[in-house]
Amino acid sequence: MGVPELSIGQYYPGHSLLHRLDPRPKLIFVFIYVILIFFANNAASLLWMGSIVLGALAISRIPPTVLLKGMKPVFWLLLLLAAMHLFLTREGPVLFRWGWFAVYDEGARQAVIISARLLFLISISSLLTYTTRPMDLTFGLEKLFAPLKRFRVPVGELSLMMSIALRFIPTLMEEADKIMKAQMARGADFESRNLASRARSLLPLLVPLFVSSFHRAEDLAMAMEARGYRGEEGRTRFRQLAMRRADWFMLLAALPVSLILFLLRTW
Amino acid sequence: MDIIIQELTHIYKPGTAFERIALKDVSLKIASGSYVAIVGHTGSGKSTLIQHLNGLLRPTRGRVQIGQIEITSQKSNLQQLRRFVGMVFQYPEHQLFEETVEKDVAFGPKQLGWPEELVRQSVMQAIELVGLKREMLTRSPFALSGGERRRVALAGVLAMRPKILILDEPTAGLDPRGRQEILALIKRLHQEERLTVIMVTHSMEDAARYAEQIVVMKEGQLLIAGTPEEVFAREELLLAAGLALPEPARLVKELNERLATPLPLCMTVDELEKEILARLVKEGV
Repeated sequence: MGVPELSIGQYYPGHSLLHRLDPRPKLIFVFIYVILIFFANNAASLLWMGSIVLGALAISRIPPTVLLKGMKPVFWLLLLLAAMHLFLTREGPVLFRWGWFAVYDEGARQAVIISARLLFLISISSLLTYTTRPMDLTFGLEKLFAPLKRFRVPVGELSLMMSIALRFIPTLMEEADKIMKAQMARGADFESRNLASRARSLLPLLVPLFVSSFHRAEDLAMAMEARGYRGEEGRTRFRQLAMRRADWFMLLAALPVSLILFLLRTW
Repeated sequence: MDIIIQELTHIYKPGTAFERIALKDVSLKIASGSYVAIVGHTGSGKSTLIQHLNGLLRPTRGRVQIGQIEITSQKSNLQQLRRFVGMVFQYPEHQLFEETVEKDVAFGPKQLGWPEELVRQSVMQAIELVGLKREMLTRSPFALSGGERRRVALAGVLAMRPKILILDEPTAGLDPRGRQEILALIKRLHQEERLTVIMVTHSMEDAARYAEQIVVMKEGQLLIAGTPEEVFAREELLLAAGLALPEPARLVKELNERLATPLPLCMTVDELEKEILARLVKEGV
């Protein structure tokens, strides 16, 4: 009952090495990893990329069940993608035939590769958000994109917008949970199976949620102005980021990871 | 409908880093037709406790029985239960969503599947109970004042004709007059409609003035439950729970330090007024 728990993108508190790292090298490493994963095209290279996820998971000391639970929503997407490759690719020798329906060698190979890539990709990015506070993440992004300021991209404002959005996700969830409970106490049924009546039943939840969000936005704008916010220009930071040895190590780790991958993959 | 709570324990998000024990072995009996105030510091488990009374939360361990309906960690008939137990949340006006007051108040009865005539009747009755004028029925709830909106929300719960009314800080954020009106309204519902009233409140004065029974919560556990006299006799327990005696009682205690013949410990302003007047008459002032 209540609002389903959002586990993708949620911070999972801890004190591991990964938690303590500077967000910038983590972001860059994940970015490189995400590109590299599309070069992994055989068993050896996939195993190598998988072992990196497992290693990161071990260092983060996040319970594997947490990661698996967070994957639940994407599990069906994974299955669908795998099934499409399995059934729709018609290349190579036939592995298996049943009436009009056949599985080809290339299809099976594609299904495995695609689902493994997607699985690793989601795992590594989940690990990033599990081990990095949303505020640190946006601050890291802001720093990384800072050079774009020269081209008049409002990097600071964009990052502030992102932090505010992230900041209010839990608040909105809590609010939604409260309103949902209040309406359930009045006999509202949010668990109806019928799609049309289910959509209609969301109205008592969405209308109050929108009303309160607008109020909240107005209050926030007022409070920010009262505290002297005048845009990002000339704004300083209380918290500063500093690269330490472990942070440089994390950044440089991308090098051997890519090298080994390129040695293992089939060209 | 008596309410029986037995060894109720509730744990939020068990098995994760966010695990938190909100209620621990709470046992409590609330007789049908009584007026109970639940007091406690922020985070003492008051809200968690009352959410068990209409099945919005399920016990992690223990059980809650309301009349013949039992709520345990297993599935049970909640739709039935919610018809009898009306729940008014904090800032209930935040749950209004319909275009007109009438439609909003009718939401609950309609969900119960009542015939149209009965729905209309209960809406009228509820609007009258909370003291709103009939002209308001066609207005948008968002165009009303804060106090009026709260009444509309209250009417929305009353229209379902509950036997038990649970209120989570019903006067929060209202001005003094609005507070008095809402509290007087709840008292009337208790006396005239014979509703069982369970009210969570921060105000020891309101608890002393209106409740027949007071339940004090501390860190998820039941600290003490009893009549106002019994509870306020244990000042040290209240202080330990981060609470204080009602203001009139504190005034009497300070006065008594300077008086030769002490005044009896009064819990409400009215009582205190009577005592002081009697004293003045006796001493011939």
